[in-house]
Amino acid sequence: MSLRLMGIKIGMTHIWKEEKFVPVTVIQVPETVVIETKTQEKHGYNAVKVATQKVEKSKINKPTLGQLKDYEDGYRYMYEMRDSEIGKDQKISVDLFSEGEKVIVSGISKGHGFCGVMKRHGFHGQPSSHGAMSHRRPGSIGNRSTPGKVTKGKKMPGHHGQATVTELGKEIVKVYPEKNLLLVKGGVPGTKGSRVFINKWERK
Amino acid sequence: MQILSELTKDLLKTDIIPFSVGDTIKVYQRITEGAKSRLQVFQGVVISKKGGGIGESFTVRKISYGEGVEKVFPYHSPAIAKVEVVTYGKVRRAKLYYLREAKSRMNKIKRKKMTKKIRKEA
Repeated sequence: MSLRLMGIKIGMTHIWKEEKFVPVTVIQVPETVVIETKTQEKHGYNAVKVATQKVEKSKINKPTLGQLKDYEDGYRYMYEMRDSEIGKDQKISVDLFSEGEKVIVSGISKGHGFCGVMKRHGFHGQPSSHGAMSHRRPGSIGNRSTPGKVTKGKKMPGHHGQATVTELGKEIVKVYPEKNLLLVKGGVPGTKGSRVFINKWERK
Repeated sequence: MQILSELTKDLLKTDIIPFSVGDTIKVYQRITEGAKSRLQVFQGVVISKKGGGIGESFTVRKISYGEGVEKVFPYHSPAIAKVEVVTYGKVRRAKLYYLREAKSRMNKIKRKKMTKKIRKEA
């Protein structure tokens, strides 16, 4: 069973737990319904397909609408859960998770655009004064005619952020089933309003 | 934003005596050491109040053995058992950071006249 839920990052705040300050990220999990079950015989793997976040049907394109023809409402996002045993038409919500549980959270990190090596890789840079003529540059990137090339994977300037980031061992501080909210301790990758996945952590 | 403020609404205190910048207050902080817990008192002048909602905090400054000491308290923290106002001060700034430079001016904060409104709040 690989259970996971898609949620929307609302923002950060803090709560008190036994007079202790706990920083939390609030994640809202919209209504989620199982729309299809996939089997080994027919599809080659076992999974359930779920749709989430209600939206007007007029806002969905026709190929997607075909998948939702049994349903009154339209849903904006769809994703699959491998080897799950949840039946068709069943609704799933935040109560899959319990307080104090450790989970895996993944999301798309904030984009930083094209960055230099100091921001992107944490290089120290060069002095700002005392006659220094380079300040935020990478410095030397290799040797001379031996080996005569730059090693592959050399850390250089480039696009930073906006990549899928997965964090293990995030603690669920609180679950609000009636509000469809989850409080996760600490930060979560991504901007406010971005999609995050909360996965069950199955340690082998 | 609305979801966040609604979520923390229940955690906000409503029973704290209102005080403002310039007042001299006593803060009773609950300190837990192992199984025992006791109240620690910190008395001083409120030099700043900042933030809103659950993040609201205030800074109290006092002179302890000739040395200035400041403590920042989260307004809604459950560890703060109670707050007492000793004197109401009359000041013309929202942040009294000038007290850091001039120790002697701390004693020169004028007392506010006890109007009906203040008495009612207290």
